[in-house]
Amino acid sequence: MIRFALVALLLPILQTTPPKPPTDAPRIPDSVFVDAEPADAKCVSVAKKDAKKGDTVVIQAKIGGRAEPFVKNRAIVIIADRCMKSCDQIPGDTCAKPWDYCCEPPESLKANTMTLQFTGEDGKVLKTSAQGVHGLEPLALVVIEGVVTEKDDKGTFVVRAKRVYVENPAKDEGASLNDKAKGEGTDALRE
Amino acid sequence: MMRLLPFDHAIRNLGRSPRRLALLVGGSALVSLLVLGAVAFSRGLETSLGSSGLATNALVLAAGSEESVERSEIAPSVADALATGVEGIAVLAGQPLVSPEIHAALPVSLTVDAVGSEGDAREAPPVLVRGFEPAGFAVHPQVRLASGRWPRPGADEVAAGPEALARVGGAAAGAREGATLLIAGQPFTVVGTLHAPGTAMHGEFWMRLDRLAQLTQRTTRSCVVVALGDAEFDDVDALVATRLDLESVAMTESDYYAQLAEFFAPIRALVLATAILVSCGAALGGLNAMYAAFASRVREVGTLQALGFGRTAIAVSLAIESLVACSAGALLASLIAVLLLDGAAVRFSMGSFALSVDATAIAAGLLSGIVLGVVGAIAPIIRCLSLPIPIALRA
Repeated sequence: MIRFALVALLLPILQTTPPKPPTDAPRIPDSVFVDAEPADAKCVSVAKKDAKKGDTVVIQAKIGGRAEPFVKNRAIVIIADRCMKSCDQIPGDTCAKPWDYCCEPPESLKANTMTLQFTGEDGKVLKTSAQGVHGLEPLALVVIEGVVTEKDDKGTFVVRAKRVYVENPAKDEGASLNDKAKGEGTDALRE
Repeated sequence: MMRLLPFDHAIRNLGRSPRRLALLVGGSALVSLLVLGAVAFSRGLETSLGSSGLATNALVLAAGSEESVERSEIAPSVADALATGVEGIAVLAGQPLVSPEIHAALPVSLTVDAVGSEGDAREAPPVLVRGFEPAGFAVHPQVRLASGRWPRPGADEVAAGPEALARVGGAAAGAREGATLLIAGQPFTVVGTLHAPGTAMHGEFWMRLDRLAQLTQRTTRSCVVVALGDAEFDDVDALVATRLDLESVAMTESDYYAQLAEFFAPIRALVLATAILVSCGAALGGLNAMYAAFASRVREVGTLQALGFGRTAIAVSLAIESLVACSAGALLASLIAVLLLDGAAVRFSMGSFALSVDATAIAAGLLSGIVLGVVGAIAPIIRCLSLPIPIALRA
């Protein structure tokens, strides 16, 4: 009896599996993620310069560009040009969120980052986070194929994803980096 | 069954030496007051920052300046982009509740005749001045006008928080509406008193956005506060993530202040640690007094043992004495804290907050008194009861 009570008390504490989302919650279709890299990929900065609204583009990028590159509860991701150095590529940098490109000047950041969206059949952005889906994590290298839905000369460049290839699914690495950043919290941000 | 000494025996013993009793109660009150004050400091800071931001407001500020709204600079167009780009934002009188604001730490000093040298202004303490537009009243419902009126657009007028006035010496000088302040070297008239108790805004000066922009010679805004209404925070965040030209980030106002509270966590811990260390010193003093008090009663303890009372019964009686005296001290400390500390303003470089003597603080104070009463009595009791009865009777 006592053993049963102990198990009943400890079970919720020991249970580490996160609760599963409800089955009717929107999710990014698995079919969007492909195993083969789409051909003729361009850099973000080049695509931003050349592509027009409605064009289909293939872009290679790295997830990042701000401290929180994923929007919570919306399938929107900020991606950056691979030519830009994220903080982890700078020797001696101890930035807790290396994907925020905090060392880049704002103008460079604006020119070399863009927005990737995952939409539903109705064309609206899915109300779910893209983080963790098929290895989409901060600093993951991706090649995307999609349609330019918004573009202006001020820096806005939005692509609706049709196919996404994640080069090195960095789920575990990215998650641990993210967890580390969350743990270190605002102290690191203040630095 | 163990025969205990009557409860009133312990109580009567307390009254035998009023000086000793006063020493014990005073020492305990001091320890409890220190702990209570430290907890009130921590709770006050936490409460003030917690009440300053609403979870129903989104705060949009410059990317990279998430930790300090004063450092943030965003384009004035961000407010319009939010008002038109996010569906469901709260609306008042047909206007979306989107409040662009400038937060600037400026030197403020009090001058009676509105004539002061630039040197005076430079020496003045920096106080947070907030530039607002009419939507600011609606997105910050914690703030209301206690007296006077709000500043007019373009006018050299400010509304003052009571703590802000006190910070520049206005409270001592009896400054109210009509007083003139030198803000960044320029004279401004106080036309109203704003009231936002328990929040950071209680220690701010508010002036119209256009006038503050002119004063600080800036064309940018510090932040935009959006009352979410039917919109979700994620809608605001999605817009900001889509419009990279805005170069901004969004967070809930409550998250921003929670982050600030996190920044102050080491200071709160330091205050608590200091209070505990000083309390330990005071507790040692109390222990010494207790030791002396019990040591002088060795013969009495021996007599009680000779009468047949067990050592445990005597120990319990002595512990009750100590506990009652220390608890009385803790109660006294709580009373002093409620009367004198509660609501007292603590001013720091960029604002102020009020000490909060709430249930948690009082519980901490009472607990420290009880712990002092029990732990402080152990060593003297052992010393007192360790002597054999014949030796104790001859002591």
